[in-house]
Amino acid sequence: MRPLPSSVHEMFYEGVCAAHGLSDLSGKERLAAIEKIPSLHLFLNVPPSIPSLPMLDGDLVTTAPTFASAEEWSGSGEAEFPGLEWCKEIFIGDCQMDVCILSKLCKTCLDVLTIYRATSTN
Amino acid sequence: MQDLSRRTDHLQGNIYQLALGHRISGIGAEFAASLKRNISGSHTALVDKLLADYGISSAKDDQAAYFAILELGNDICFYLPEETFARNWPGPTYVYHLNEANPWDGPFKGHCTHILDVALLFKNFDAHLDASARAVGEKLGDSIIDFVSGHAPWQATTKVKPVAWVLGGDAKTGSLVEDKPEKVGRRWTIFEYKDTMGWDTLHEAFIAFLGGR
Repeated sequence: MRPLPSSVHEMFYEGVCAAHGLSDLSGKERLAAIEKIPSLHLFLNVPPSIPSLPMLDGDLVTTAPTFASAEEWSGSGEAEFPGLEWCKEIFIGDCQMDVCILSKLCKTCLDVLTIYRATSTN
Repeated sequence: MQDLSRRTDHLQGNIYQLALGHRISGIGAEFAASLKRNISGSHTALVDKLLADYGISSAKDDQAAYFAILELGNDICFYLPEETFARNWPGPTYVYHLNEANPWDGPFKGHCTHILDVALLFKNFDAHLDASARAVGEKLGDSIIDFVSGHAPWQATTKVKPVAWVLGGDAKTGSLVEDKPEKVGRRWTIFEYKDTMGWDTLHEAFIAFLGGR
C-alpha cells in the first residue's frame, strides 16, 4: 500500500467534510465544527469509499519506495527515507494468503484510483 | 508445503460479491486486456507468458481465473514487498513466513489469511483455536518478545544466506529454512519477471486493474 500525494488526500478530506455537512464552511469553521463532533459519530459518518491510506506528507513520509529503489537501500548514497537511518533492525513476515484483504478493499481501491487518475491527469 | 495454486475448492461464492464480483464474468480476458493496456507493447509476449504461468489464460472458468488473478495479486502486492524489505534492509532482519490455516468459516477458511499472524500473536481468539494453532501463536509471540527485548529470535537473514522461520500448517511451530519461495510455501513464478518486465511495471499494472483501467 503505497502512500498517496496530498492532492489526493485533499479530496478525501473534502469527502469527509461533505459527509458531515461542512462543505460550505471556511477552513477555520470546519476545524472548529469537527472538534465538536463526537469521535464515534465522525467515524461512522465517513462513507466506506473514503479510505485510510498513508500520505506523502513531506515530513514523516517523504517518498514512495519502489522495488527498484529498494535495491539501493544498502548503498552509500543518501537514505531514501529517514527509517533507513534510525531503524537498526526489523522483524518482518507475511501470511501465505495475504491477498484476501484485497477482496474487501477492492471497491475502495477502485474509488481511490479513480480519484487519483482524475487528479494526476489535471 | 501446501500447494495453493490449484486449491480453487477453498473459494466459495461470497468472496466475489465483496471484491471484483461485478467483474467476475470474463475476468480472465478483462485482466489480460488490462495488463496489455497498461504494460508497454514491447512486453506483450511476456504478459502472455505471465498469464500462462499463473494459469490465468488457461483457467477452466471465471472462478478459477479469479483465483489465479488473486494469486498473482498476492505475489506482487504482498509477498514481493515483504521479500524486498527482507532482502534489502541494511540492518539485521528477522524473517518469518506463516502458513497456518484460518479455521473460521468463510471464503478463505483453510488459507493463511491477512493478519492471522496478529490474531495468533495477541491470543484474543485462543479459545477458538486448537492446541497446534495456539502453539504456533506462542512461538510467534515468544519470537517477537525476544526481538523487542533486543535478543535475536533466530539467525538474521543476509543476501548471501537468506533464511526465514517458517511456521504454521505442516511446519507447526516451525524451523529456520533457506528463504527461497519453494522452501517457505510461496510461488517462484514472479521472480522470473524481475529483470524482464520489472516488478514496478507489473505492480503498477495490477493496481491499474484494481482501479478499473
